[in-house]
Amino acid sequence: MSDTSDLRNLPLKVVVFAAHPLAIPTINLLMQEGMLGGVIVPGQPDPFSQQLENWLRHNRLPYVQYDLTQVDNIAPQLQRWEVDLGVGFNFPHPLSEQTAGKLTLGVFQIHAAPLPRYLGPQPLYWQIRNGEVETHLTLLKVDATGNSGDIVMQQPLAIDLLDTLQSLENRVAQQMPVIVGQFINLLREHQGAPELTPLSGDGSQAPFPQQADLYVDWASMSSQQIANLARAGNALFGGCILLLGHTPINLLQVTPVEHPTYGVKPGTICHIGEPEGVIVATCDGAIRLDVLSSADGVFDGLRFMERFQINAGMEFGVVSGRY
Amino acid sequence: MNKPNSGNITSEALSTFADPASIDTGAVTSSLNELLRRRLSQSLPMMPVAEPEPASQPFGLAECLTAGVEEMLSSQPLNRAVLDQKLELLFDRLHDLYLKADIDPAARKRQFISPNGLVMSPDHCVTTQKDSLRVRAFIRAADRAIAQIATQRQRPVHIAYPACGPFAPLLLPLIAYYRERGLYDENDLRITLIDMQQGAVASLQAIIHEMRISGFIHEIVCQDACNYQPSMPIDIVVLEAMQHGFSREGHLAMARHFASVMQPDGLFIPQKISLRAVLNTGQREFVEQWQDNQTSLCEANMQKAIVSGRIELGDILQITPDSLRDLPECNLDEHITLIECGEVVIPSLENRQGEQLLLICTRICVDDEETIGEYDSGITHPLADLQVCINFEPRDTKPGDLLVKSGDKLKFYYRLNGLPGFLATLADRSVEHE
Repeated sequence: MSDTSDLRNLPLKVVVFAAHPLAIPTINLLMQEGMLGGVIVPGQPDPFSQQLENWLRHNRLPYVQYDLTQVDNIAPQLQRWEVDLGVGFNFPHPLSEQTAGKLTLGVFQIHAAPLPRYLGPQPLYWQIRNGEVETHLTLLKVDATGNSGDIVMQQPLAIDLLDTLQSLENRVAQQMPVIVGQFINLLREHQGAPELTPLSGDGSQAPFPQQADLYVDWASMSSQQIANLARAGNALFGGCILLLGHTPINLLQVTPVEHPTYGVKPGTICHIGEPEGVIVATCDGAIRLDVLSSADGVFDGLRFMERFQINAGMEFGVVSGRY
Repeated sequence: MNKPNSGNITSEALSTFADPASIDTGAVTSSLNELLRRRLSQSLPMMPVAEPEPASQPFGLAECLTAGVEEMLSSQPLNRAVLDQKLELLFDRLHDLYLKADIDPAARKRQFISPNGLVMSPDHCVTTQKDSLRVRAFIRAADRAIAQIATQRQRPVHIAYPACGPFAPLLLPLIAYYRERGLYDENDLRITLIDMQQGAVASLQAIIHEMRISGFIHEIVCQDACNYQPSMPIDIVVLEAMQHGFSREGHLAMARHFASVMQPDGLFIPQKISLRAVLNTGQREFVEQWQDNQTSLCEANMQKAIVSGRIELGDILQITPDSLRDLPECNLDEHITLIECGEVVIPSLENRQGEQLLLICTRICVDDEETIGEYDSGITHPLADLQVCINFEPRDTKPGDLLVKSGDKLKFYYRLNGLPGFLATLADRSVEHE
């Protein structure tokens, strides 16, 4: 283990705890700087962590799976890697005290959210869905139990009106190495003890959205809310879901428009035709359905309506059991 | 075999047309063909000829129009199969014209909600021509109306046909027939056709040209019929713009408007539309009634046992020119007006099995002699109001569901907005449960 007497001159080795491909640009940076000790991935993989694991394997980078039944097996690995600092990206499991104790400079988590708001595995989904115009890359020190600690750094990042979940994740992933680099410099400047700011304010959760979360609720959602819902699910969750009869249809892109609806129920198709497109009434106006998909492929609004013989006057419904 | 004397047009034939400039070439061709046929029949022996299959007979538009209208106007009892066949042939000719008319595909497919109701795409409207009982009733009524009004006017009879669609099927075939038979001419009748769809207007222009009835047309107007102001007095209105249950399209709004701008002694076709509320189970009404029936859906083929098993709740609305001028209404906002309609009581259903559906049933009295009964046309199929739940709670409640029980009184309103239709509400629970 390195002497931290003058951190500015000492080499640092970092272990990355990651469960999401968002961590890849940061892992690349650390590798290029010669600072990567290894990567810890969840023992029970999901599609995201599996993607990360495949990349690590392909690039022959050192990694181990975090076995929840044998958590203390990680500590010897950290010792072998000679790592001083742990940085986590969406890592779902707390570390044991023994494990955390091997990291002399501590464990830090990066979270793409203005903590304590949007704490959970899908912060960006919920921020887009809620119409936020800005997120924050928040780096905080966590304790051994994995509970959120205090904030070390926080950097704003604009959420564009045209951002989808995918495009925003890509931008966040590109920004994370920058903040990690800045953090390491800050750590060195403050000899491993940077100034911390306590978390404050009301918290909120950002869980993994369930299917019921993806349905458009015509009775309560405004045009902009539906547009945000589609963006947030684009493309990982198939956008959002419309229901025509009992048939679910994925809606990937929506645009709020000015269009008269003449008092019809929200969810009613008001117009099908060029150049306006497919216009549907909402509770506060109207939206244009730009891109839809089904098992038969991805279509623009007009082609979808023609292909599946959907006509003006038809209504998109609500999911049963929601009332 | 003697060679026929074909190709020589006799002076006798030509002398019947005094002024070449006034020659109607269609009439010339018809008369000359008749002369030629007479000549041929005199010079040729009769040869047995197998009667061709109807589908292979190469009828042109004029022949199809004449045959179709003659069938519809015939005083003989209705032969549905023959009528269907003739209207199918007519539709084929018109549809060919429509497809060849070089109408912008976007204009053909456009469909939307207007302030007064759904406007279907021209592509969707063309098949009305084949709805035989509906078309027959309107054509016969129009023929009688024209005959009646023509005796009362010293000027051309003006007929307005709003929301006519790309073929104007409830009138134009009759006009083309009049021209073919020389029964009326441009000095007797003037027609105004109105439709919101540019694609429909383009189709009408092509069809009118092909039917050679341009002289009868006063104007073709592309606008919302509810905004139309006539430039000459309207004597007859032909209008049909509804889907089953008197829903979705703007018939009532247009009818109200034209009732207010037409001549007080003019004729409205249809004369009366009656809407009433009925209860029955969906299984019996829509499945059992028709599952053994090999013939077409129509009122005459309704099963007596099923009909007598219905529960008649009562009339909820009658549309006549007079009632249109005095409908009690209430404005909810700039887009929604409610017309107050009838009330009915839900009776005891103790001895009834199965969930009873509220059905809106339609009968159209086109004139004194023509009626479009239930199931005669798609527009008179009963419409089930699935949001009214009678004596049960739905498994999955949705917004707008109305839970009612025996003894409750239902008050109906007709909603005038972008998608018109009946709205059932719960009136005061002031009726004793029977």
